[in-house]
Order: sequence, then C-alpha cells, then structure tokens
Amino acid sequence: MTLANDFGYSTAMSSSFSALHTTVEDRYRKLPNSFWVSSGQELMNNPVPCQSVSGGNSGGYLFPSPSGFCNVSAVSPHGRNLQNQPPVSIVPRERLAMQDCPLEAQPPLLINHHHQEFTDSLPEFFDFSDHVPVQNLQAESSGVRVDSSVELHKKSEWQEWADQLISVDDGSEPNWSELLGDPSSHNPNSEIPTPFLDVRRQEIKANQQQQVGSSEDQLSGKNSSSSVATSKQRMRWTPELHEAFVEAVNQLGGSERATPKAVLKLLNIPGLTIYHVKSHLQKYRTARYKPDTSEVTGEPQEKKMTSIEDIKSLDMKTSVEITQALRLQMEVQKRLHEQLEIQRSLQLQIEKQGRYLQMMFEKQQKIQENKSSSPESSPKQCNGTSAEVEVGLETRTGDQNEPASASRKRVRED
Amino acid sequence: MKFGKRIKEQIQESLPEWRDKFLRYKELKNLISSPAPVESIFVGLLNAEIDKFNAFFVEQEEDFIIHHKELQYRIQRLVEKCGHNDEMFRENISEIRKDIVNFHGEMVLLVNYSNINYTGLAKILKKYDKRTRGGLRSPFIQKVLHQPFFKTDLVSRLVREWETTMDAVFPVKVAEAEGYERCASVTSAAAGEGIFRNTVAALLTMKEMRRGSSTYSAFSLPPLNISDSDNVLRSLHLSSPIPIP
Repeated sequence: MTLANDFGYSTAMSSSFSALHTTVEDRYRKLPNSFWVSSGQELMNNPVPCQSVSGGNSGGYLFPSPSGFCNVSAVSPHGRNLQNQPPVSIVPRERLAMQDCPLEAQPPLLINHHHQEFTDSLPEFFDFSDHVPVQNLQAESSGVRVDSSVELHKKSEWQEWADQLISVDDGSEPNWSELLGDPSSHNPNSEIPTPFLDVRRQEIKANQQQQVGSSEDQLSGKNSSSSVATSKQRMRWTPELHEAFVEAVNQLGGSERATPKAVLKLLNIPGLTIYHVKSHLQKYRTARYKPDTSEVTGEPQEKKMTSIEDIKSLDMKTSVEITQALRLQMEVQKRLHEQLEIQRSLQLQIEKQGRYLQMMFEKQQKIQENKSSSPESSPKQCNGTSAEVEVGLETRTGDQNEPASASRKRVRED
Repeated sequence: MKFGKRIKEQIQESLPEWRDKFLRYKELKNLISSPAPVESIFVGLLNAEIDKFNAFFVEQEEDFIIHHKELQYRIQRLVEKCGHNDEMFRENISEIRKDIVNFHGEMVLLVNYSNINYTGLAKILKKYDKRTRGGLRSPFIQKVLHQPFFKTDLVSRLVREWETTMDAVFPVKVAEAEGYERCASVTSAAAGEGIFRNTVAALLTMKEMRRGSSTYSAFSLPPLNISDSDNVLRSLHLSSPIPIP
C-alpha cells in the first residue's frame, strides 16, 4: 500500500492503515515523516522489521544505508562538522550537537533511527579499544538482548547484530567495520564520541564505557566565554534525545509516575545528570497537563470547547476569516524567518571575508616590514633587486592598494 | 544610535518574559563612551551577556522541543480519532491550527532574538574598536559565532517542518487577495496577537537597520530585499497598529 511505502514503512505496517479513508490518507501523507516516530506507539502495533529504507522515503529525508552512514559519528568541542546522525552531546557551555551541519528535514524515524544508531555506536565503540577493554564489552554484550521491553518490536537485522555481539567469545576484537559495512572513517580517540540516544539498554550500555573516559574531557572543554566554573552544566536537548526521554517515561508508567532518578537510570546516558532530567521532566509534565497554556507567554488560550462553540455559533464567514488571519500571520512569520536565515548567512560570510582580508593585509604588512628591515648589502645589486622587488610589490600593491588600505580603514573602523 | 533605538523598540514589542534577556546595548555603549574604558570589564560584561543569551536560548529551545512533540502527537491523535469523519476533523482542527501558527511564530521570534543579539554584539564591538583603536572585535566575534545561542539550526529546522505541515492542517487556499485586509485586524487570540505584533516589528526593524548608515562598510549588511508590492506587507501597512516609520 502506497501510503505506508510513502513513509518508508514495510508492508507489514500497511495493514494498520488499510482501513483509512482516502481523505485521511491524504492527511497522513501530508504530515511530515517526523510525525511517525516513537511517540506514536498507538500506531505501531505490528512488529516492524528494522530495515534500511534509503530507497523508500518520499519526503526527501536522509536515511543513509549502513555502509554510507558511519562516517562521522563523534563530536569534538572544536566544532567539528558532523553529519546526519542526531545524537546528543551533553556539554557544559559550548554546544556540540550535530546541528552544526544543515539538517535538511531529518526527523528521526524510529526504525531507521535505531538502525543507524546501532550501526553508529558499535564501530566507534571499538575504535576506542584502548579505552575500552574488550572484556568489558563482553560483559556488556552478554547483557544484550533484543527484548521487547520497548513497545516497538524489532527483528531480523537487529537480532543478527545482537547475536553476533553475544557470540564473540574470546578477547579478540571483532571486525565491526566489516560486520556493519562501515568504512571506518571515525575520529581518532582524542575526539569525543557521541553519546547515545536510544533507550534501548544495550546500545546505551555499549556506549557507556567510552563515554566515561572522555566525559571529563567534555566537561573541561568548556566555553571560554565564561571564566566561572559552575556545577550546573547546561545541556542542550535535541528532539532525538527528547524522544528517548519520552520512551523512558512511558516505560516507567507515564509522566506522573516516572521519577527523575528512574528516568535517568533508564536512559543511562553518560553526562546526563539528574538535574537535567528533573528539569526536563518538570517541563514535560507542564506541557502535557496544561495544553491550553501558550508556550512562553503563559497566557491561557481559550478552551477547546469554547472555541468550537464559538465557531459553531458564528458565521462560517468568520471562521474563514480566522483561518485567513492565521494564514496571514503564518506568512509574515515565514517571511521573517527567511530574512533571518539570509541575514545570518550574510553575517557569517562577512566575518569570513573579513578574516580573509585581515589575513591578506597582515601578510602584506609583513612583506613591507621585511623589506624595510633587510640589512644593507652592496648598493648596486641591492638596489637593482630591491628596486625590482619594490616595483613588483608596488604593482601588486597597486592592484591591491585600494582594497588593502580600504580594508585597513575598515578594520580600524570596526 | 539607530541600532540602540531599534533594539529598544524590539524589546518593547517582544513577549514579556523575553524583555530582560536582550543585549544591554545602551549600557555597553555608555561604558565605551566613558573616559577610560577598561577592556577586562568590557569583556566581562560581554561574556555575561553571552551567558545570558545562551541560557535563555537553550531553555527556550528545550521548551520548543517538548512542545513540538506534543503538538505532533495531538495532531496524530486527532487524525486517528477522526478517521473518515471530515466534519469532526474540521471542528477540532481549528484550535490546533492556531497553536501551530503561534508555535511557529514563537520559534521564529527566538531565531530573531538570536540574530538581534548577535548584531548588537557585532556593533558594540565595532564601536569599542573604534574608540580604543583596538582589535578586540574580530577574534571576539569569532568566538560568538560558536556560541549556542547563535546556532539556530535546530529551531530553524523545526520552523520549516511546521511550514510544510500547514498543508495538512489548513484548508485549501482560496483566492484571498481582498481577505488580507480584513484578516489582519481579526488576528485571533491574545497570544497570537502578541506574537504577530512582535513579528511585524521584527521585520520592520530589520528593514530599517539595513537601510544604510553613515558607517556603511564591507562589514555591513546589504539592504533588506522585501518587495513593497507584496500583498502581505501591504495589508500590514493598512491595518497594523504598530507605527511604521
């Protein structure tokens, strides 16, 4: 059934949609892929084979196949460029998450997400072989089980990898790259690996060892903008991490019943503190149980019932007006956003260019200085050559004179 | 002085909780104007401002992420619940539509927040260098570029996602040319209005700021490119309560 295929689901899933009416199908189709993620547990009743759907996405989302996937997986505090994988970094001041790179509409479709994450974590895990004694891995992997503790059932490839993990008997390191078809172009062990997002215990545990070693690096790699060291490390959440959080909370019986400690333990993400979880849980609870309150303004919106009645009692014309008003508002907002993005990229460009000009100017200056400070040698030769050099320089600077002095002026003005 | 005035206007039009989170441009300017500006103090203040931006931005972002998921979930549930019942869907979707638009708006405003503060920092650093004939600006701004509050990619991504979702939850567009004027005055809930006002103010501010100044240089932004024949903005001019300079 095309609907399911549109969203890259296996046909096993399609049966749950077969009953839908066409218009509803259209609605579903229009919703971006990000809707169909883990929080939609109600939808995903059928076991879904974990598959790579690099071919099957309709929304232009990136689902790279395992082989193409694990190229960059870790984040360094030095703003290293990360590609598609959305794991979180828990960083004190400086943001390390992969949003450095343009994420073109890449919602974490859970199936592929898991697939990717699994693919991701293991190779990088074994790159840190000096940090992580393989025995540890064994200990961890013996705890690996593809269980159905999570609502989504995953089969086949998942199971295979888990089995392979378990089946590694002695201390010899399996060739994970080969196993997962990964061209191991990971960062060297000095780089900070990406912490793992998924609540699936085995994955998180697998990552844990390597994280512990480097978490101190992370924490010490603080943003130099603040000279004050605070114990309260700020964390930057991502949608993926939040999803993992929601899964954990649901496993624990819902937002009211789940305790920060339990959630923290279940998530088991290194670097994540109970403080982070606590405040996030609080926000989450508020968001769920006061859906009528506007996000930031705190202004209570009209209750759902009231507005429906309002609309019913009013003219159809007015409701159309309201919709149009909303559209207008949306248009203006869109406009502002567009302009902001343009402005931002311009600003980045300007700075880049400025740096370049500065560099050129400094180079120029150096040349001038060297020339003027060169010791006196035999006049004729020196004159000849220096004259040449001077001329050469002049012609060059002649061209660049305008920009050079202009840039100097600019630099000073700035 | 122009920017100082602009940012002040922006702050006035912004959502209440945001107002003390903006750059304290005037204070910093005063510091620079003082007879002997001490660099360490100035840098210290800037760093404090940056921390403030980072903290606010990251927290807002976190709220947005949570809200983003919840809103998605709500829509999902509604779609499921309604099945082929178009009427029921239509009735219930109106509230969600409003929420979507307002949510989108708030996120855009956060991006705007980031930008305004960045611009302010760049300008104040320029002033500082001018005053002290120093070279603080360039390296400092480089550092700013790596700050969390400047990295708006995630929020922008969410913004775009909701723009694409619009089709699914809004009815098919009918000819709306004449409708705009009426609509602008009908902008619904108080929250929406606040966001709307703020958005319009932000756009206008941006336009003004980029119109060209006495210190226009290679580091300045080009003028804003919004055609005035645009329907949307024209309707705003007609009915917006915000004084348009």
